[in-house]
Amino acid sequence: MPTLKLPVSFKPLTGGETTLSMDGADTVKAVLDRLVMDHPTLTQRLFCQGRIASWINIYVGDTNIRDLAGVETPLAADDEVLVLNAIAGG
Amino acid sequence: MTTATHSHDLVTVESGTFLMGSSDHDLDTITVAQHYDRAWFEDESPQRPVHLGTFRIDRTPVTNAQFAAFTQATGYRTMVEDRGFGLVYGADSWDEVRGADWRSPTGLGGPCAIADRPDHPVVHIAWPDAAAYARWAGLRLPTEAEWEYAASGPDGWIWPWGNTWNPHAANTAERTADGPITDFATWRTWWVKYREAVTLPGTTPVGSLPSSDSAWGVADMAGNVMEWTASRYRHYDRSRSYGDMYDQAQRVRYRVVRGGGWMNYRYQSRTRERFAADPTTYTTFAIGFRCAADA
Repeated sequence: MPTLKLPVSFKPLTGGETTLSMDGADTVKAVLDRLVMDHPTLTQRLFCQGRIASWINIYVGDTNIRDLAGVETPLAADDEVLVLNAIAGG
Repeated sequence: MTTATHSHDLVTVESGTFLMGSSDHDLDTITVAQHYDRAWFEDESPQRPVHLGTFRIDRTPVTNAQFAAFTQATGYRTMVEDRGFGLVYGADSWDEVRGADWRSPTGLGGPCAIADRPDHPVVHIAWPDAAAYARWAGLRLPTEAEWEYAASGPDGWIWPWGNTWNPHAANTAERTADGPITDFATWRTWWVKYREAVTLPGTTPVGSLPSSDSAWGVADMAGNVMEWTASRYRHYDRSRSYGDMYDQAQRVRYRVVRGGGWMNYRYQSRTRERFAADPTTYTTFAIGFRCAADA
């Protein structure tokens, strides 16, 4: 099943979780839909004006999904989806 | 000693060896004083000696007037101008504001950077914009090590002026807060009041707070704007993991940003604090830069 990894700074909004298993999710969109359904307060962190915010990068492996098929990027069962703020640390 | 080059006031930083990064004791102290886990700051370690040859660095961040001269001479358009929106912090979070860019930092209706704030640091600058300006000026961006040495001085201070925090020394959030800011909740309290009380962005004329100068006489290295460096974000110890976030930032070639700005507070404004940022897409109305040169 795909694994979703979130920034440490999201911990207060996910009950402390930063690694989530996304059983059955076959696209990045499916992963994100499930994430914001379970943790609605993340919507403002991840999206702006209906799309992934410019301050968020999402990678499948080491490739930014903006260089793939965006949220429609298909996922294999062993893929790792990593959400990274465009600025990290501090 | 300072020299003027292409309208830049460059401070000479003499060759030396300094301890770059934070010690275990530093990290322990930070961990108990604020809300993030130690892992958040762990990428500042291990502290180790770094030798630098003599170099020169801008006494102040690049101003709106300086950047205007560059765009006027070259026709250069920034990344933010090309994409049509800039990141401005609103009531609750970052927002993509159409028309916000270095000329109009908060978008239509806000201050005009060139007419109203020529001596403030330029903002909404992405890494390629900073690098392009520096090339035009016959200069370069400082490396991360040069930036830290210029800020921490020969004695390796935590803040440019010393090892004791002074909320009034630099243009950080704590300068106008009612008390210490050590977590997001107190930052939010400050922000709600601040954004109603001032014209954003909250930059100040460069070099206008001499109390923030480093031992070398370099200004605004804590507060005012966060600053791009030339350096790729790399772990100080290449053999270890610093967690998913920092490992990925290294893999995907983020660049190092240094110096807390007007929105940041004490622990983000330390001379050893590291930010890793996407050089291709990221900037805000709190990010600028300064230039450097070989001796």
